[in-house]
Amino acid sequence: MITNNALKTRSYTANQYRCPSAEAWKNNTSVYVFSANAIIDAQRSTISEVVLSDTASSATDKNFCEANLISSAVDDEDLLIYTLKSGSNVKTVGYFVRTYTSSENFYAGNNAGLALSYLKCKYFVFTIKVYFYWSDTSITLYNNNFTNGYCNSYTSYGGLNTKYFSQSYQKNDGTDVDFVHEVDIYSIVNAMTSNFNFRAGDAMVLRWTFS
Amino acid sequence: MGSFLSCAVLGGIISTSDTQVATCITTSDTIYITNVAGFQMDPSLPALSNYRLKIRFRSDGVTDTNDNTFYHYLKLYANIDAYNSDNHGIFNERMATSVTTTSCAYYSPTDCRIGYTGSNIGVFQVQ
Repeated sequence: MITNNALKTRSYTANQYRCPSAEAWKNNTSVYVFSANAIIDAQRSTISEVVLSDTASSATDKNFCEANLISSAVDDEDLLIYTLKSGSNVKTVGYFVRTYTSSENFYAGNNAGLALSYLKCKYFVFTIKVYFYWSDTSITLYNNNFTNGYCNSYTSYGGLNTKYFSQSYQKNDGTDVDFVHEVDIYSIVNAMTSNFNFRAGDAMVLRWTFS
Repeated sequence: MGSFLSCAVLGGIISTSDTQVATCITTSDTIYITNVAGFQMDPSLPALSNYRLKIRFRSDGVTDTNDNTFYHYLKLYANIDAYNSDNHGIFNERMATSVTTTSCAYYSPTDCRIGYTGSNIGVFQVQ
């Protein structure tokens, strides 16, 4: 029986973040969400809660993630999707429930940890809560918010190929200048297709900055 | 570079729908384009294709002394919420080398003077 004070809440630390690989957006792959030198015993469980959509959200896009169990998921992993209604608001939450048939260490280098099979989210605007039921007297809740913290792995320098850049002046004192800028992103887009599926209706935003 | 005043898409960026154009918007230090669709990729680009994006923008001026050197960054967000929160980008690239522009004002059609702030009266003839 779980004791009253068994639950402890934690936040992820830098070395516990397991950033989803770029392919996770496109393919039915496992999304790693946690990694630490921690061993869970057999017959114990983890529950990972992910908000998939929420009409009450202040975000313009109310759909955050998609969740499904893929065929290669381990037999002891289940996915429960709940639709919660409150007035006119509808919230969909997915729970990945896994009961371990043998003990497992959540750390073994870059390609291990707790994985959800599978989860696809709109480029990291999601929050995952993971409950680790270590024992009846020890439950840890980790809150994880993948936004732009430890997962800045998609930035590269040198991918832009400027084809044309001109500067002309509107005033004779050099102010109010007019620029035309043309870039070739062929290499970027080609690399991107291995990781990202464009979907009909996606309204993306392209940002130009200078420093 | 100064503060951005306005911008316009000149080519290469496909809108999301028939009714909404890809809109170029400026803040003081940022240019961003909304309603960007998938660059017509189905499922991948043909080989040896260029894929170019072209914009025009105006700023309130570079400094009036000598050269201005800057880097250009391009970041693609999944949606407007990701942009507003500056979440992970689908890609986030910077040009490999900097761009240098020379600040000068045209005293005459052939004389561009650095640091010139005066005015001049004359007739410029276009040949």
